[in-house]
Amino acid sequence: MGVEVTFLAGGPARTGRFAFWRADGPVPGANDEIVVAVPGARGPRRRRVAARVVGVPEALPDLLDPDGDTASHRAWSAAVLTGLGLVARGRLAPGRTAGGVAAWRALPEPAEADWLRRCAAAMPPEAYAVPVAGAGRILLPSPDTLLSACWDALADTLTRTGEPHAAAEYAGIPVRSADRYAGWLDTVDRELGGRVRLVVRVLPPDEPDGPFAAVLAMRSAADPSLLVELADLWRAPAEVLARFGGDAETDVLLALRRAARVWPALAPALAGTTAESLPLSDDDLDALLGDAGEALAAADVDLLWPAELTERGPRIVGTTRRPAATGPAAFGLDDLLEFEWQGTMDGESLTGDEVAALAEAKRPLIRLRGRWVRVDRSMVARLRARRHRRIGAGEALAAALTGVLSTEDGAVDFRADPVLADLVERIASLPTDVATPPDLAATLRPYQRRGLAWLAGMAGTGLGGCLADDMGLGKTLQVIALHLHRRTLHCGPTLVCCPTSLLGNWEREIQRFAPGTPVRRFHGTARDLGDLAEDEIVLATYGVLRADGARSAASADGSAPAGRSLAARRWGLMVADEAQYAKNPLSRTAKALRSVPAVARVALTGTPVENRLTDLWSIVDWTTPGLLGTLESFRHKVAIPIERYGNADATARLAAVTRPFLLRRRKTDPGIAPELPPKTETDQLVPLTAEQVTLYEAVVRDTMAEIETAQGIARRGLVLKLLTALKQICNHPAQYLGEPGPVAGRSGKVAAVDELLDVILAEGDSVLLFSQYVAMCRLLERHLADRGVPTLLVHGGVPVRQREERVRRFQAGEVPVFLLSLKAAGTGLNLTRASHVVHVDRWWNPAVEDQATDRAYRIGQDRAVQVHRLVTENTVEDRVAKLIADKRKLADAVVGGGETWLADLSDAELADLVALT
Amino acid sequence: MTGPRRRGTDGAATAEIVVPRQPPASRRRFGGTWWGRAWLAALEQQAALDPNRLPRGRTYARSGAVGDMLVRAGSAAARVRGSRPEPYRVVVRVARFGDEDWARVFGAMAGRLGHAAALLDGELPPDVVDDVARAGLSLLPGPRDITVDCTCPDRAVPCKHAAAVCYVLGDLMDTDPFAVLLLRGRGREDVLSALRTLRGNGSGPAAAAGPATVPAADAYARATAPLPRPLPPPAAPGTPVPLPPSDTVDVEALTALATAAAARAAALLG
Repeated sequence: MGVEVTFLAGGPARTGRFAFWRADGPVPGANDEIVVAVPGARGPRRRRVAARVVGVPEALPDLLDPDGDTASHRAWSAAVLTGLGLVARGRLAPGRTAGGVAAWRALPEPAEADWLRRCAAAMPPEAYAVPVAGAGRILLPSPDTLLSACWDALADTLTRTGEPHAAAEYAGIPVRSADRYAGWLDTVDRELGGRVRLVVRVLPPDEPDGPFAAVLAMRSAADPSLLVELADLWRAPAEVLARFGGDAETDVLLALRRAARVWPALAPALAGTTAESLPLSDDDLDALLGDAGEALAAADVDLLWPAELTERGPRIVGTTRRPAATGPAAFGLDDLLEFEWQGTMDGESLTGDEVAALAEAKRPLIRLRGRWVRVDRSMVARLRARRHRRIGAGEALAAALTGVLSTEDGAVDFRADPVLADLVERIASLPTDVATPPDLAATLRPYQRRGLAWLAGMAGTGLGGCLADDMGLGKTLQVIALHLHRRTLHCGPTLVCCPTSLLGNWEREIQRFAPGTPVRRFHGTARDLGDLAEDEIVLATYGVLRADGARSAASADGSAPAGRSLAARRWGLMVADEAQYAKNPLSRTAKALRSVPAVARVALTGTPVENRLTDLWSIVDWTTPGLLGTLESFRHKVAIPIERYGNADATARLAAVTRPFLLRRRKTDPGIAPELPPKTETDQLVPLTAEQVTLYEAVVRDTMAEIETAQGIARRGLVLKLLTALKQICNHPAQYLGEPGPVAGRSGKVAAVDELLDVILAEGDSVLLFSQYVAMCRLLERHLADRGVPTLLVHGGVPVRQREERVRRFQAGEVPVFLLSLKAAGTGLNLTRASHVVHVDRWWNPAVEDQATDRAYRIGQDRAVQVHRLVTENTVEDRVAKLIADKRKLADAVVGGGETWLADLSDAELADLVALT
Repeated sequence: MTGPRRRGTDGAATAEIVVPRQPPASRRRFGGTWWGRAWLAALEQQAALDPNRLPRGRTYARSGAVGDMLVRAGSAAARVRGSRPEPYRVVVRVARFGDEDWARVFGAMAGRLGHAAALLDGELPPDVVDDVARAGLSLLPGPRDITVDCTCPDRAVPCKHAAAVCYVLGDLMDTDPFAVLLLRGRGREDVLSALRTLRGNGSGPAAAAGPATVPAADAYARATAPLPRPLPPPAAPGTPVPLPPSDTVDVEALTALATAAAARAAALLG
């Protein structure tokens, strides 16, 4: 006979000990005596034996050998090895004994719990032979409680080997209360699922008319697959508690009481000796499917429905009903579509009999097609209501794009009719390339060709779209190409609405890229739409659009001359440039835009509209009316869920709806960046304000009179004085008049700067603003500060150290706008962070201008730089710019000497140069 | 932490509840539950001869004069500071039910699952008392079930010291109805385990065996299954189960202890 091993559980767990003993004699190293139960002739009897009784650490070396002499040794070796594996996997946590003492415990998972049961069944009596205290019948601790205690002892021992620094209750050997951890330990219990949850399992009847039943069960919070019916708990508590933990019964009883409190139908479960199951009335079923189910969930009670109920039962789909497809023109955004509900289950329509069965069901669950399904009364009501309704084409299109139609009663699936499905298919597979119109006087870059193809496709369907490319990617060019493309299809004239500051630009670009295309400005008091050519482009400002809209509204009786109203005809294409300016849907601009009929509408914007959802709504609701629903419903169902709550479903739905209607390319997109030239230069024509015009004309009139009577040096001086005065007026009246302000609303250039900065800053870019005049820089500095735009200013008077500090801040991205005067343009400024350069006034010296631009564009700068030159339209600036452009083509050096060449012009030449036309 | 603490869970002999001395609280009221009030009513009936000790007892109880109280099967003991420097020793005894009485009590209580649930929930529903009364027993001690003993010279029953202990005991009953059962002789685990056994109806072997022990005779008589092989150890020490965050507990230190233990266990397994 060999040495028997018995575990003596202790409280706290780490005080558990192993006893090594033999029934027939002394054991080496014996240090104690223990009482063990040994078999006798008339049953087991107590015997006092010498034993080596040691703590867990001392016992481990013996027990790590799995091949002991005795069955008890082998059993405890196996237990220790498995328990060490449990601890090695990190399955341990702080806990407390029943007496409130801090102790670690092992957290067996189902595999170990199962192993523990098997080991307990295999343990020889010697392994648990030390009786519990008490006289009379000899009682031994059950093997499974000892195995649990042993694993806890391992966890509570291996954690306590070092010198305790923190959490001494759990790090040191001395027994200490866990009181100060009490609340947290409850949380640990809850989270680690030493706790159990009550489960109410709904059991369908065998007969279709039989009663349902609720079977009560418990499940481990840590291992939800561990599910045991309460009947088993009552019948064999020890076995169940060994798997769930000793507190399981308490937890279940408390949960049952809690559950009966929130749903009194469960109260009978507490009235009997045990609770196993309850019959469920039809009303009970109704309650469980509704309020009671929610209340139980809130009380941490799980409700389990039969698996077949969680599969999709009958559901409702909405569909539009129409005659078979009759071609692309069959879909108009103004249409109202016949709409109806259909019931389906497993992809097949419900028959009339099935709908009737659902409608006549007395209980909330019925058998349909061989399985139990839930009866959704509101769905049945909708299916039974034969009333047809109509929905707007835009709403139907959105539903077809997402597959979901949102109704007052929530989202339902949507099935597109053939025409709609065909349309969705077409916009999903638009051609990615179309032939560049031959009369386009430009070569489109690849992404611009893709843009043209998309615009042509969307305009072709009549659905419209929003081109939201970054500034500088050539939105204007793409639209001009679209106009030329549509001209071949005889779509009719195009109307372009834009801010006043861009009117000149559009005209120049059309003349440049589509020479020969008739273009007219619908502007000024003599504006007229008479004799409009089929392929003409009409340019109108938002201001005129508003005035026009107000006037036609005021004379709805038709007294207004039809030829003068933009809304009086249907345009082949209508374009809203910088469409974000009309973003307030209640504004007169937005209303006026909507009042102009057009076959297709294209919005252009350089700001990232997808980040401002109500702006996006305004733009899309103009290009594609009805697609995003009413503003009110869009706010509630889309904008607020996304912007406030980050709702992923709403985001995905919005993306699905808008994706086809929105084309946005960024300069930094991998597919775009390589296609961009390192530097693009655009002259932006800006109008003068009335104040500027008045000043300009007065100065020209007075000074030209003087010049005509002057000679030589005096004349040169007067000419230069005139030019300087005019440049100052073109910049800002306050600069010419030497006033400190006000700045806003007096200068076309300042307005243009504002518009540019809006887009540039929205894109997160940095910009350099150059002027020859410190005074202009200061006006801009003050103006931008008023608008909340932070700027840095460097001019000739700024000491080197400060200049370097400002350059550093700009380069570090701290401030996105850098104002520089000509005099500051000495060498050595490294301003490569900027990706935009704005020349507020012209240098009239290309070399100087290039040098300024090069501050932003340098070798090593990996972003494309856009140069915007502001030129006041039809002024001396405009004409000199043209002269310079012509001369630059010959040789940059021709005008290298600055502005003195202007002084040598004749009076007539000079008069032509400075006259406002 | 000044709440009552339960000690010993395994049997009547060791089941006890310790109520630490409560700090003075001048506005403390007694008898927050119906069963707590029933206890105080019994006390008042007992004090019919010397009713003026009760208000003083309440004052003592409020002033924190009652030291740590030890409640065991059938009795509650505490020291009470009185007018002399040495505190008086008070023992309050409650008549214990005999084993047969308890069998009837358990029988009555096991009739409804809700009874055990309510007790666990900290409630003693009147139904429990009624069901036990139907079995011919009064669960709540009456005046004759209570005897008090104090080392003070006052001959009144109860004296103000004993009364003070009774008030503190009433407080304990309010928060833990199992205290009533303990005074009648059985601790919480005894009660729960007995009810558990009765619920099992003796129909399953485990239920008959009780939760934590097996008769040695059965142990030596049973056939043992083959020993399962130890479960294989992990390839490397695992990350300890994540513990919930806390403002007051050094979760990081505890996690570090668990991590070190996992490493040690892995090292032992080689």
